[in-house]
Amino acid sequence: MAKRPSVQEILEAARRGTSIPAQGEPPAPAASAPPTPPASTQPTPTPGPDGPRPRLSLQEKLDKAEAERAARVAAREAGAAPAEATESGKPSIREKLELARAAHPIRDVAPREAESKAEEAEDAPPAPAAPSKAMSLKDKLAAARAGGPVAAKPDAPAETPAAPGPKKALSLAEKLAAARAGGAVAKEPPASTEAPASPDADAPKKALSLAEKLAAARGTAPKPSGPKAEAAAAADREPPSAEVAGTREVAEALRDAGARKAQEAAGRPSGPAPAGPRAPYSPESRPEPAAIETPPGSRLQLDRRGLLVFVSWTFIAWTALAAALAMLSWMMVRFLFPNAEAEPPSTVKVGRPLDYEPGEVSERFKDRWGFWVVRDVDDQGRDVIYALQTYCTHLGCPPTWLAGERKFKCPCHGSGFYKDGVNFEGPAPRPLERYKIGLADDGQIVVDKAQTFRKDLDQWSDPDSYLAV
Amino acid sequence: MSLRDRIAGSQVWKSVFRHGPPTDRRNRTQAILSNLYLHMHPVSVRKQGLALSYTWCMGGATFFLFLVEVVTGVLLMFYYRPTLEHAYNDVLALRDVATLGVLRELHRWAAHAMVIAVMLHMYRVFLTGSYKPPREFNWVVGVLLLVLTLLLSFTGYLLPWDQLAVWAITVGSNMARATPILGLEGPGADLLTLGDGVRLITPGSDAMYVMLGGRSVGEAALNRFYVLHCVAIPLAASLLIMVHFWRVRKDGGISGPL
Repeated sequence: MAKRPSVQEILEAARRGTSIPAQGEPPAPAASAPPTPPASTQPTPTPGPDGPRPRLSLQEKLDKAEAERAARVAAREAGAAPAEATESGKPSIREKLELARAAHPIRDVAPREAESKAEEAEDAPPAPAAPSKAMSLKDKLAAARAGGPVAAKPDAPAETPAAPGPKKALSLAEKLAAARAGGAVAKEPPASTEAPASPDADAPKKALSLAEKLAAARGTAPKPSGPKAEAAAAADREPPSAEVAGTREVAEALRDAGARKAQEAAGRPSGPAPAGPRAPYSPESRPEPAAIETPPGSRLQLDRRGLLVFVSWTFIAWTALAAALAMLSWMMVRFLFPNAEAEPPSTVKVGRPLDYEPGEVSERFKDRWGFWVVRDVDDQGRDVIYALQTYCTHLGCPPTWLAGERKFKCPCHGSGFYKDGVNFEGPAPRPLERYKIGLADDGQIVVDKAQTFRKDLDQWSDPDSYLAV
Repeated sequence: MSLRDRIAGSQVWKSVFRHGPPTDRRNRTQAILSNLYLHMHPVSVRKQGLALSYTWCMGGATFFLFLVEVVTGVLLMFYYRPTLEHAYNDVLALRDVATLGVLRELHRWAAHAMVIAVMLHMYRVFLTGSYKPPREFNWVVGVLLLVLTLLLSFTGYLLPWDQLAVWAITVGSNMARATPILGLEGPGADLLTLGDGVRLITPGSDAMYVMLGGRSVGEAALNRFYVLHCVAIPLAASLLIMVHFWRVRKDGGISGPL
């Protein structure tokens, strides 16, 4: 356990220490790319790393890392629909893990195709996973070869010819993994050890060894092997995936919850990570993909922990405080709007129409209510009563009714208005305004200050602006 | 560049917050020291200063309640008119008509709680011996604050202008009549006499008269208490609170052993 981080650290150290361009064997890394995420993420990759580490040289490590990245990018660009790739990538791993645990026997016995089919048939969920991985592999391979993008799905038939090759490759990988990791991995290798004998196998073995070692160091042994052993051979995904799962299971079981939590908190579906998006080299960028691949068994825990984050007392307390403050603020604003007004009502009864003499200007309501009641003959010869507002239209001073001169005179700036309120001298720009006037049920005149009528707006023709006597 | 970075990097933000995100000790310190409101609190505190069982946090509770009184009191002033015509009706309207009718009750409850908190605070300070040198002056300041707290309660009691208020203040202000020397009926009032029986302390010149602005509780008293309650005493209390807090820091921090 204590050694977990070491691989990661070694790789990082290697990068920092040496500036050697990383261009090793593109094909091999390409294959290994998908598995890389696990290794990179957390300080606790896999238990297996111990063995392989010492053997790798700095240069090799650098090459490896570089190749992986290139492979990822290539895979992405290769055309694996980003959405598919991302989404499928994450579940695929889990599903593979599940398969690895639950479907070991099946794999061992059945040929590749049979395996894949059987798995698909049996476990609806796991099946898709396999394909997704296949996609990534294929894409990578395709990128490596510059060949056309391969369909991501489990096109077992297309690759069937390669089957022998892959099997061997697998067997190698498995053996290696078994030898190194023992325990968890050991179980799987026996199942797949079937037919390593073929001549092809040897070559792949040698070639793969490096990649496998690296992968094993990270816990991703199987995949690298696949790619290196001739693209075709490598195409076989399932066996490797199964193996990967084996080692990975152990590794991931060891991972601390922190990473999962972080991922969970990030709310990431973990899809994007597998795609290997990070172009820059920074080691920090890689941890996330690994976090994505969490053992299926841990899902519940993740959910619970994630839930705890949001249901914590701290969260509740802050939310409650914020809500209370928001409500209080609103109430305080609302408080400033009076629910009861101390102002007088806007309507006032001013007596009966016949209480006013023809031609009279009544100042009874000027001081308290702010209007004159005028009875006069209008332009059309009608005998009408209207209520004139006592505010000069210049600056709002109260004019005075000069009975001798028969005009309203403003004391402030000398504006003058005729009896009907029309301005004729001084700075006043327009006639005085009328208040709404009408008759109440009891026959009294009612003046409503809530509505005014302006002559310049032709509102004096409104029947509410005067009262015919 | 994320939105957060853009905001944190803007001139507006930087003109207000002179420090970086509080992710390291220096910036955390800066966050406290460069903030007018937070800098009153020490950057670091003794563990004992945080122990609720030791401090009871009654000083903090008192200050909090004081702030509650300020906020609710200011809001109440928007509607309350200290006149014989309006005072009582305005108080009723604050409860029955205005939105947030509980405001006046909040003001009242917080006032009661503040008196209790001040008492408990003094009790704790006494029990922990925190009045001893070099904190003896701060104890005195605290006593003055206690007096101001009680005066705030007393002056506020009249403002509703109901029977309870008027007669309670009548009784309370009658006590001023017993003030030594300055109270009409107090001991030593005879001492302030000019020549042959010309007394300086009369019903129209003693302590009670000054307090009420008249010989009995009337509109003058109401207005006087209103100004005292809303302006004069809170200002004095604020000043003393600043001194009090400042001395806490200067005298060795919150009630830690010296």
